[in-house]
Amino acid sequence: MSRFLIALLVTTILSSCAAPPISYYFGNYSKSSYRTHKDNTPASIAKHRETLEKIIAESREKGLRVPPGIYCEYAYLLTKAGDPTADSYFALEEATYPESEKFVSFVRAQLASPDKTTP
Amino acid sequence: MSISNLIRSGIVSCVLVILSGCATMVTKEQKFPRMYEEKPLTIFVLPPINSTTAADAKEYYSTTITEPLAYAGFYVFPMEVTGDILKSQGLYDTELIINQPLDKFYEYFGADAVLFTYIKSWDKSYMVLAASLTISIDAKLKSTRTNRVLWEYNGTIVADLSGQSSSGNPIIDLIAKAVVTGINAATADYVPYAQLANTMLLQTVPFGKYHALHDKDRQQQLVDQKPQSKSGPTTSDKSNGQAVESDRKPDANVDGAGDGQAKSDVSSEANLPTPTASDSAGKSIAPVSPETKSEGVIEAQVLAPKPAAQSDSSDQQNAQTVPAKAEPPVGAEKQPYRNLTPGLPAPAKT
Repeated sequence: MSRFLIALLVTTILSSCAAPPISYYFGNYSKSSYRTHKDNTPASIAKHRETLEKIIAESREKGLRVPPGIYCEYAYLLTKAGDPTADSYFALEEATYPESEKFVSFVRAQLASPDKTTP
Repeated sequence: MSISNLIRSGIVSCVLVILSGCATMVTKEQKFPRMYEEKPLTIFVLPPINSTTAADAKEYYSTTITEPLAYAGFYVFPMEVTGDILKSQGLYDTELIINQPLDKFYEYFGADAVLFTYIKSWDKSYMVLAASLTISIDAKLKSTRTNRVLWEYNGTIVADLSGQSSSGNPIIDLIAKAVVTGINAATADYVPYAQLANTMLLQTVPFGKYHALHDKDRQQQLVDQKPQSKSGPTTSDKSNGQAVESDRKPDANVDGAGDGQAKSDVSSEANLPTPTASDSAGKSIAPVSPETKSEGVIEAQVLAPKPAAQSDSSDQQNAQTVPAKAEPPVGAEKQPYRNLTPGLPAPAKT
């Protein structure tokens, strides 16, 4: 209860502060990410995929840029689940964040031919 | 979610404003010039190094770091993916990478910088009538091309989980307080506090490319946690690091209670050499006032000065640096033997 009050009062104080300069929608990302670490079951991984889908959908709806790494992570999980549409999401990541190209090509290569040695 | 982030960044910015009167302030440009030289954009976050005994601290913490880093304007590689990559390379422990050259991170992933995080504290302390949760994180950003430390800072949160009760009957208050404290201590979730600690930390980093204030925040001020010119690095570290918490309290109370009680708490905080134990006890212990509800939450370290203020004057110096650490036990030990219940006013004098 007092937590709510404090939050309320801080919000009113905040109204004089500037709004955050970047807008991202992260949704339930950290919670579902934790679940996958903790449980590591296909069910929790599927839930995390859903969370990522929601992030992508909400960002598009609100006209926001999808947060860094979300497309890449989504594509990675899709590939692991055997879904062929993953590649388009890798391309989306590279388009949204050009600096991620090196990383995305590394991940693609890793998924294509997983081995222990560095490429 | 964004609103709570707003609130948190609001708390932090308010804290930083208040801090300017109490600790050595320095601008971002002065403290982290190499960030402005190199302007890293892509950050590879390594799994945290856990120096505590909490087994799940690593997993909890690593899920809370991506969001604030992204909000600070950087491109963060997805930790699910990077975790798998590191494992496939046989790098299960970040400790193996600490002193290695980081150029491979640039070569293979295009990472401009690598973030090392050290979990220094991650514990709940429970003493029947008082409970607190402490999270302390050290973060260090190192360049992959020059291996220099571009940015480092510590974020420490101490949350008071003690229950409060104001039924008027001291015995019932005592029992109720013990019960509420127990519940709070058992159920308190580390994650929101970890997120708060991260937010505090990442307020001090020179913003990345995607932030509106990228390269325009050079004159923003922050608390200097390791001032070069001060007498002792450890003492100034403590006083600065804990000045954060000790000042969060008056801020939070001004926000939360907004009445006479808040003011008296601020004054009991500011004028630590309060001579009468009962006096400060009466002011700083909430149960006396009927407006109090069970606090339990983000009031960082409300707990700390109270027991210290109640004890002898020799403790008042410690009281200021007290907030983050062993406060309740220290205060409890040093109280006169008659007062066996820390947190309650000495009975005879009220």
